Amino acid sequence: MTEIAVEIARKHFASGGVEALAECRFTAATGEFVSLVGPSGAGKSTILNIVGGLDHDYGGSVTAGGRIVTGSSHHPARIGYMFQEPRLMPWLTVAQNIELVLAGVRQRDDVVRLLEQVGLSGRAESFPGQLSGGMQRRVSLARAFAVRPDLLLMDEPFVSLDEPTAQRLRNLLLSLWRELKPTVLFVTHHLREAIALSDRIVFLSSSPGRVIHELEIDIPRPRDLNDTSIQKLYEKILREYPKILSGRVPAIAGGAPETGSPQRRSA
Amino acid sequence: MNSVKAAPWLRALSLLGFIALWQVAAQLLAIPTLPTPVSVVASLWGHLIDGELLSSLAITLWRVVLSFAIAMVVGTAVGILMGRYPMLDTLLDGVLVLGLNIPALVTIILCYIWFGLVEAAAVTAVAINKIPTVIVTVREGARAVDRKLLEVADAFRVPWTRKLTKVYVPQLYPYLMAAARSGLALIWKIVLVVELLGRSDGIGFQLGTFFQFFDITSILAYTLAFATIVLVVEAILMRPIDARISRWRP
Repeated sequence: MTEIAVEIARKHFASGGVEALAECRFTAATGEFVSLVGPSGAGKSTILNIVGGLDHDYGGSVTAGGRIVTGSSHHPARIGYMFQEPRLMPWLTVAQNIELVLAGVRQRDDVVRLLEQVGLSGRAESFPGQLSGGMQRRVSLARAFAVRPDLLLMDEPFVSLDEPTAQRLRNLLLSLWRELKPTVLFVTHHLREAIALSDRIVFLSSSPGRVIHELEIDIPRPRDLNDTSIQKLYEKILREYPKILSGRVPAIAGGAPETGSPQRRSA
Repeated sequence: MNSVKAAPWLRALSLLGFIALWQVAAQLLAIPTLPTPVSVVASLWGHLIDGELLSSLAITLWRVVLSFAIAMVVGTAVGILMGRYPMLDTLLDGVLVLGLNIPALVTIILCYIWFGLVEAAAVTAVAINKIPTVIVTVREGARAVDRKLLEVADAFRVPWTRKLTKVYVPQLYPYLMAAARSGLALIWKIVLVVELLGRSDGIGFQLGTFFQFFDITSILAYTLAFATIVLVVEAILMRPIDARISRWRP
């Protein structure tokens, strides 16, 4: 059981004391795919760092499976992390990069199987510098799933890729997610991507980040980024909240929203 | 790739040219203070046969290895800590600058006076001369360490020993190699002075003896033996290690 409850009351950046997050509360159920959408500087990466136990310097609490997160070394959840850049060790081969995060040699078979799944079985002995950007992301994705995570943290993992490559990676992510069903927190500023991938979207305001809106996505899977249902929902959201992607909802947003496929939850 | 293939020949060319020039100059001048390369090689052979060259070389090499190891271990540890903790960096910086600039001769004399004319004093004196430059180089590396890669290790809860050997230290390799290369070069030089001043064996001591007898051929023969060792160490140790740790570079 790895439901996540995030209750960040405040978070200041160490340098200069600028407020990064304020009143940032949301939850994710076990196996749920939750996207965090917000403008740049909303503190999305900071939230992932706090949930992942890499950042302890904040007011509030984060629990995973009912237990408080106090640091990365004794994290209650087994975490897979995919960063904005692939962040592979350039001096380790593809296989070694994945083995790095595994507990022992017995998982050697897992590495082979995972590389097969991400379509890199021939590149196990290559160094990251010999791979294309898209291939490096695939290694990074394989590494995140190698630990059989029950919590997967993803920080704009497909940004700055060409669209077909990004699409292939999204499909890969979804097939791996279906197999292992980790709880996912997926940070993006790409709303259509969030709609296509998520069970639920949490919208954040501009800095200091707070949760301004939540939206359940009940479009049946499998979905495709170019489906009309996704396009329709995308347009509907922007019609209702034209400024939501810059982190603003109208003051009247507290009232009852229109009924329809996206149902609004308390923000 | 042509330049790489031709590299051994290019390397040899400059040395051969130097030897040829030396031979011609020695023959033209024909003075006892500049023996020809041929007579130096003959003298080298003689010293090799009678055996005292090899034993002196072994003793000197042992001192080099010992003081090099001490200097690298201590310098790396302090360098990493100073690169990592700015407080410590500020605290030790004054001593470091002093250490960098104190003449080798002063350290050697002081070590001999304080610890006596013993082996430990000799090795300590050499190590003390080398440690500050190792610290400075490694500190630079520790400052340049990519925190984002360390974060990966933390996020995935990689055990600290593996984090150190697979994530942290590889980032220091170029700096450690630079420290090792310049370190060896410096230590070769200082060890001979240390031997000349306070030991009764080793290459430095032998050179001192030859100096007293004005035996220039023997001095050059010993130098030749020494130079050969340096080139061999570079070829069979430093370059392969360098190639091994930078094989991932495209």
